[in-house]
Amino acid sequence: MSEAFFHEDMRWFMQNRVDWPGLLRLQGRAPESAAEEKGTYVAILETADQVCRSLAEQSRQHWHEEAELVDGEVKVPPHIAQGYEQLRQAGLLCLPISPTYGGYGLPFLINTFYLEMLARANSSLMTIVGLQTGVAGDIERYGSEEIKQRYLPKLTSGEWQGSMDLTEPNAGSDLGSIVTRVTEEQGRFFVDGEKIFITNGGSQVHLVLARDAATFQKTRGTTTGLSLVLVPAFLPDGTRNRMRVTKVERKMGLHGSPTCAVEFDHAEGFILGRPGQGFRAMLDLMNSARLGVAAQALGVGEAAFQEALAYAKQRIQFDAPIIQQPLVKSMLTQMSINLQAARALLYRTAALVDRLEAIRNFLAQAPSESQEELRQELGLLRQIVQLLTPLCKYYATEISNDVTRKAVQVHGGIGYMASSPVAQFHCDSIITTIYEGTSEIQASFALKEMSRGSLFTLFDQIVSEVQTLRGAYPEESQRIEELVEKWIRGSLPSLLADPRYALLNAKRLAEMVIDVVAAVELLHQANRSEGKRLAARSFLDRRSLAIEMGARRIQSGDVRRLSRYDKILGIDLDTPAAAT
Amino acid sequence: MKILVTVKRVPDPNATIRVKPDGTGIVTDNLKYVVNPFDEIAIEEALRIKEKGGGAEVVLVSIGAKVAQEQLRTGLAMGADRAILVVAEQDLDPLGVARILQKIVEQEKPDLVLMGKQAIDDDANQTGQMLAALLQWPQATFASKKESLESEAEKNGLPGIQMANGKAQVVREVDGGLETIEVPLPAVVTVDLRLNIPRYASLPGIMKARKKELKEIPVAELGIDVTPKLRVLRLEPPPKRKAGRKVSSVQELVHLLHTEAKVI
Repeated sequence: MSEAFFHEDMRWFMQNRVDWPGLLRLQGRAPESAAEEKGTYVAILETADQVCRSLAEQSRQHWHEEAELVDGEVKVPPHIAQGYEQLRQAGLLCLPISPTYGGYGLPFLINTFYLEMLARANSSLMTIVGLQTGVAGDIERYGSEEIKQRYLPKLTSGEWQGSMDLTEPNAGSDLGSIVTRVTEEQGRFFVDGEKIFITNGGSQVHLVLARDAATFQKTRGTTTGLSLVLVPAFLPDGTRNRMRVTKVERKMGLHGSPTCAVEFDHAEGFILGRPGQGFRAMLDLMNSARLGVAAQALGVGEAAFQEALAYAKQRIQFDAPIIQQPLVKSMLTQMSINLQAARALLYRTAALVDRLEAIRNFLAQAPSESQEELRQELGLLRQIVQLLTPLCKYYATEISNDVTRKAVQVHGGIGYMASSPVAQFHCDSIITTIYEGTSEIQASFALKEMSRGSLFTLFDQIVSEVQTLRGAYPEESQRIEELVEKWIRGSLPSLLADPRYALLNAKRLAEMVIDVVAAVELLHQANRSEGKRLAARSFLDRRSLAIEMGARRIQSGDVRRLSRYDKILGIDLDTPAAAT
Repeated sequence: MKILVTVKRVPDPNATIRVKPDGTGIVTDNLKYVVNPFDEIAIEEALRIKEKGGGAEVVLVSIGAKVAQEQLRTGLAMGADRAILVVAEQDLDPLGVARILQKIVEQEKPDLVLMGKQAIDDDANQTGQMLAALLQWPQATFASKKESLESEAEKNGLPGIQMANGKAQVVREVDGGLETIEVPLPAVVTVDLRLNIPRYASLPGIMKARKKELKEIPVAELGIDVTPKLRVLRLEPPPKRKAGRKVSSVQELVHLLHTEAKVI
């Protein structure tokens, strides 16, 4: 692994694409301290770089070791426990949490970099750390002061870990089907039910999505009436709560990360936020988790790419390194460009999250009559972040699946061996397009956001940004504008005709929008080096054709395509599946 | 006990160094800078003496442009107590550096000066020896230790340099083995690669370092002549490696080694 974990794209982005003084001003801190702040971030990421390097060596060797259930306790493999301890000693946990509760108050962007680096070193360990941070973040935002004082210091110090318990046997993508219930009894709350596929389900602090018993029948099948309940493994008086892990799953990858079934048998919990309003709080956690998974996917993708590149340079066939084979070179180039594009999209989104949070907090404290401009910006930022978040998750994880698979392909037979790091990366990557909402769910979320108007807000932003790039890159700017105006906007009437047809094309549309945003972001970087300029150019060349093709495909059909698919598949929806 | 540790800002040893076409120096665009790895070992050793050897104040000193603050902050984040930066924008040679350090030693009066045995940029390996001579202090160069870097002693963070009764016991790396010597304090000790594995700066350490004292002293204030006596005439990259040649038999190989390469 030649490339640094704290790599150039991160360094460049934080130096060139973030308005740090503006962010500090919103936080009520001195804008002049921006240079010092950046210096601190760099120092922290350098430390993360060193720790991640040493973790990476460990995790390759021990990748196959599985988390297990031993006497009712979840046990992680030794390399995970030791790696966690190393991170704890370095202080690399819960970076964005406020210093009041033992965190460092770092920007979301910096934490995104860190999670990407950690996933590149050890994707299993990253899930534990990522969840811990997300859970702590949700407690910080929605918990009472008492709850924060009780749980946050132990999460930031690493004594306790966290998990987010959503999925149930009959509630996967469809969270409206949740039947775990929370019952109020004399001002206390108790949880009953079963959760499955819970990442790090052996943790001490569970955030459980449960349906209020009082309105159970009325709200069943919907996402209203859900509460987010903090269920600790140990109650404040030190006794064990009535919950247990019943199973640790065996999986295709992520072996070091325990995936658990958890049973709640009248376990006491504490409601975060307001009862029945838990879905909102859960969405916050999920949105940050989605960007976290995007970072994870990129980390794993980068690890696989570096392996493949190194291998292709040294593997001799036909008297020359295989990287000189045009087809191999082309695979590696595409892997590299796609990773750069996904990264550009993710960092852009993460930086917007920081800006959004800073404005939100600022306005919460500022007098209401002023700041009309900021209020407007906040509204637009919300729309854009809500659209870009599922797009990032969709794109980074799909790219990661593709890059890791190509890395296996570059290695040939040796890549398929159980001991091959690229095979491991591929197995670790596959879950990323599934958990925290599948790619299909992300695309349909994005579609919903677009239909609420965020697509036009995003386009306005993109088109005005392209104007600023026009001087330096006239041809590219014009092409991007044409893609937006002619092809994407031009496809919208066909989609508006029928919601099912729109849904059928949700991924296609998502990709078209992603390509445009990533192209602009790559263009911003084009003056870094000749390689970056050519990457931006190549991305635009390839994706222009893809966008045009996508648009033509959308425009050429309508909802009748779905019934043709029924015929191709030989299914008749009038006949219940059980009868055949 | 006070320990003064020298810290030099150098290009990242992992970076690919390119020589300027006119040979006057190296290309510094986009070059990443770090603490000289030998100095990092010196900082680590000072911190271990402080932590495990009964306390000490660890003071860092660097000489160079203002940006060298970054490297001093790194050392402070590792755990050093305070830092001094002698601001000097001009080129300096080892004797100039030793003269500046001599002044700082006279001001700070440390019991021990710990230095990397050399910096990885110009590999001079002279400053420590020159400083000891200027101060007329004893010196122990190339400090190492008997225990391996995988040993328990290393895992427990024990110092390799033993300080007791106003003396420092130093294990030195010499040709063909290790030599143990004792020097009375104050002394100058330069450290080698196998003395310890330096810690990295933890996040709490990085945060604390922001509040630690970092004093700047313009070199002119020291009132000494630091005009270099040494001039770099030209830098040249090493010659590119040429492709090898395949031969068809051992006999041919031996023949060519004898007649062409003239090595046997």
